[in-house]
Amino acid sequence: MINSAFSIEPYSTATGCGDFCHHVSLTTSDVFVVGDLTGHGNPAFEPVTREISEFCSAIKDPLNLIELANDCANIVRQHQLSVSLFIGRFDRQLPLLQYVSVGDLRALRLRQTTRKSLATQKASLGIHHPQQIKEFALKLNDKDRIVITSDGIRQLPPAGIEQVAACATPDECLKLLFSDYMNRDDDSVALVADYRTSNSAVMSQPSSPPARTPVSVVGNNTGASPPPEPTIPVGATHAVQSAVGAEISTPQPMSITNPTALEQTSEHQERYLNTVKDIKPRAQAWLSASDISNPRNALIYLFQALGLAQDTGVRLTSLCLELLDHGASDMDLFLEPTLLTLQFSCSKHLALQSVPLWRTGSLHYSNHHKCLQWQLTLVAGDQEQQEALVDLREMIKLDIDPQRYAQYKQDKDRDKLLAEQSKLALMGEMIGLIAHQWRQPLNELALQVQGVQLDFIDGLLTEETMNDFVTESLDSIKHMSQTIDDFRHFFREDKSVTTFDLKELADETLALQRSQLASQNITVEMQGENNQVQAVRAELKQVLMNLISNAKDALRDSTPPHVIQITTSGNNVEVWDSGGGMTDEVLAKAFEPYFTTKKHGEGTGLGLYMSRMIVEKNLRGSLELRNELRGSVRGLAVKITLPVAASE
Amino acid sequence: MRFPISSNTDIQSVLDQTHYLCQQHVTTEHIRIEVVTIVSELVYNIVKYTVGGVVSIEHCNGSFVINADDEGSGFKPSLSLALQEGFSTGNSLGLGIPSLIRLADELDLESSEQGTSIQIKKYIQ
Repeated sequence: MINSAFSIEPYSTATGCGDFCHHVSLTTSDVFVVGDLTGHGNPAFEPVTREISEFCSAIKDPLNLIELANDCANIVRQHQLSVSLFIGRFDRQLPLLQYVSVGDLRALRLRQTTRKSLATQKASLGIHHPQQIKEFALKLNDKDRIVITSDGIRQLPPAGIEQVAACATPDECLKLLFSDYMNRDDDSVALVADYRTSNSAVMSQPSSPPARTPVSVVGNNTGASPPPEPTIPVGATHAVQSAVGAEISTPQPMSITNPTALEQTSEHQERYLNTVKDIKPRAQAWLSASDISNPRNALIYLFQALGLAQDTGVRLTSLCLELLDHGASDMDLFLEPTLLTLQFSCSKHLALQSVPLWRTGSLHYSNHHKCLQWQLTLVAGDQEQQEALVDLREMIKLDIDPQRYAQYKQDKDRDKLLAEQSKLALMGEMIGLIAHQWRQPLNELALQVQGVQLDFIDGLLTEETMNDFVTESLDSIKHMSQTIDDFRHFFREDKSVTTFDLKELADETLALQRSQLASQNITVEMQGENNQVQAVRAELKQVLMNLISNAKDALRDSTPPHVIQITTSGNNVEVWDSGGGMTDEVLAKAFEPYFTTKKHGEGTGLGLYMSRMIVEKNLRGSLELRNELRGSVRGLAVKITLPVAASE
Repeated sequence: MRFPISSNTDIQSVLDQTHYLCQQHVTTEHIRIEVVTIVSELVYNIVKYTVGGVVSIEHCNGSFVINADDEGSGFKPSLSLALQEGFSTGNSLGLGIPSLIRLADELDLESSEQGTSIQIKKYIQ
């Protein structure tokens, strides 16, 4: 969008003023013709400026700026005059100023407070006509300000540039230029045009072009007036595109054959509503531009993954980003197995402008929802491709490039494998524990069975001894059954967060290993108070199990006393053993997977690694190791800190 | 790096060198593609529409500055038409001047019947 204003201040009389400025609004562009006839206060200027005004009002597409400049020069030459001339064309579809500049008009582009002088040819049209008129073009950025002045306005010093750049509107700029920088000995003209990429790429135009009046006329193009309904010849433009469309590897030809396709409301509105209603449940992936930190990357990866030719992908990406830059408030993306849908919330004006740029896919516009919908039919994907699309969604969500995503997946697969290995190792240990727990009751059971047989042989088998035998045997069996239940609960896949007592959980975990600990003459001391915490119970139990098991192993080869202290406090639980602690070297590597100091076959090197993974990733807490002296005994303390519950 | 362009045989070496430059300086894949697309479009335009020209690529201050100068006769029939999507692409990549404008971060163009000069700045950081 261009917001522009211009003003002319004659040296003496209106009819003797040789400076002029005209604004011409065309379908594809807005054109400004700014000129300064050599001299001032010359009555001969009046017919020249009138002819130029008439000439400008007849300007139409297709434009050739060099020809326009030559035609102006001819008018001036017929009156034996010469002119400095700037003809600028602001394209409505591209962020571009195309221009011809001959003579001593000053043309500046202000970008924030930096200035760039626009190229100009040092000549004068008419009498000192250049051999070749050059044409220039300059890419515009959002908020660029173009300032064109004749020599009636003095060259701006750096402070003046800052002042002009700081003006909020072109009108303010004009006031500043004419009050502070106008030469009093010449005619003056100034044009200020602000380029904006917000709202629309299209220039808003005044309802009618400002009539030129030579005395202090301000031609204002504020953008407040509604733009006229665009008259883009959809069909015609498409015909041009079709000529080159065959070169591009397009999965589907452009489906717009009716020039008024986007203008029809009821039918397409209906179609649009049905489509959107049905899309989301079907879509494998859906994203909104407002949720993506880097829509450019997301689109690039998407088009790559869909197998579009690189140049097509880049072109479509540029188009989507431009729509977002130029007024589309959001973009939603739906990916189905055989259909890609992009949906832009934008004005119909902008939607119509984009029609010739898509070249592929089909377009629909909903007047009701003010949405442009572009759909591209994809070749039906096989299972592998479907998986790739699901990966793509994850990649876009994570905002990482394909290389980093491959690494991420590799790491994720490795973590999964480690988790499985760790679980297997833990199960192996469990079986060992069950075996140990069962040895004593099995032994008792064997003794009881043998006792019954001996009593029978000796004739001592009474009803009472029989009852004792049954009761004791059932106790042993019950104990064994309880052991199995304990371990089965331990392995159950309950991942829900619950509130439970931390000390009770530590007691339960300890109970599973108590007999084994006792057999190694390890004293276990429980300390601390009962505290309610919120966490995934089974996972915390698994970690505690690991830590107690590690402590037990550390004590196996150490000198007495053999003590494990388990302390609960607030959201913390700490396991300390009197096994002598770790050397600095071992401490540094303790969390690395497959690192173990145990004898071959006794440790997997996954216990601490997995414990930390579970605490940090699943429980959102932390796990730390440190050597600690308790009394005169050196040992290793492992502390789990859980996050404070939200309700606390 | 400066590459005189006069025939189809020059195209591949320019694109190879551009790829090489990109590998050295550009870490982001899509920017690499865009830089190569820009150079490709400029080179193809020179080969297709002019008797010859020069393309140069410089890396400075986190940007590539790409210059393309040719000895052609400017845009025929006019630059305004060349700016219409798809108009001047002929048998090239089908991107045309409009896409160059979109892909460029900064673009300055000067054209007359004695030749065309395009300077493009592409930020790579």
